[in-house]
Amino acid sequence: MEKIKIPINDEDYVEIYSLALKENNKFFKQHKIIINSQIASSRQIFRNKFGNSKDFKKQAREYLKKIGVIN
Amino acid sequence: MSKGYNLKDNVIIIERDLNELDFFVLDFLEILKKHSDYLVVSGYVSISTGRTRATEDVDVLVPLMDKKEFGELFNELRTSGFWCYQGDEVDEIFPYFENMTSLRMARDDEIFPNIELVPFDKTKKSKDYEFNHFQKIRIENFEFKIPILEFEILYKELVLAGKKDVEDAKHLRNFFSDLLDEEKFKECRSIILSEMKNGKNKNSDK
Repeated sequence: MEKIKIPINDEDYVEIYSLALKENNKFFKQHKIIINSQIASSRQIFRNKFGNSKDFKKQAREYLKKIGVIN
Repeated sequence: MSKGYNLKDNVIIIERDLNELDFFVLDFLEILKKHSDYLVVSGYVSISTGRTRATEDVDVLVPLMDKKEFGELFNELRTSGFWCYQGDEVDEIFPYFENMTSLRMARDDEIFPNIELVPFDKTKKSKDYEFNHFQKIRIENFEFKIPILEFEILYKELVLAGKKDVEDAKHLRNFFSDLLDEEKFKECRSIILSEMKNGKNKNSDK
């Protein structure tokens, strides 16, 4: 029986997941759920914050300047 | 049980469905490809091949282009539902691009994810090397170009070197362990270390 490495840190989990994924693509189902969830959450957060108005860009730029993403 | 990827005619085929992040990148690249060559680099390379983590931006290298070419690209992106963080007009945006400052573009009424469009020229030796030594990758019918895996891994380990970058490199080393080539590692290491030595990566925006 193959000995399973006991994960200690984040890198160990990355290793276990990538090796499992390499041999079995069913784990991509979890990957898709997590990625789609992040996109949906982000979309919702900023729609709630700035709305769908024509001011979206103006407000978004002010926010992006405030957090240092743009000058 | 199927493998996570297969190699066919030197194209890496990732055996999974497209997700929302892929559709975002696909829509952007469909427009970009009409106007310029490109290379998708950094986080999305790892995420698209199975690394399960959040990201805010997708980095895409593009060679410098003149104002007319850039304007045609920028205007098509704008009319196709993308907006640029830095401004709405070509006259306003082109100076950033010309000075090799990254531009960020997202879908209208959204902030994340965004594309970080990274302009470069031949003075950027590492970027020029990876641009000209690419690997094709396919997910369903979405095919795009990434750096050769050995370059991407070393760049993350040696240059970026943050926690998520080291973990991304670990993912790539494990997932693609059957494809990696020691000779290519040597060549890529030499290119990257040479540029690091010259200090040209100090202000890298990759």
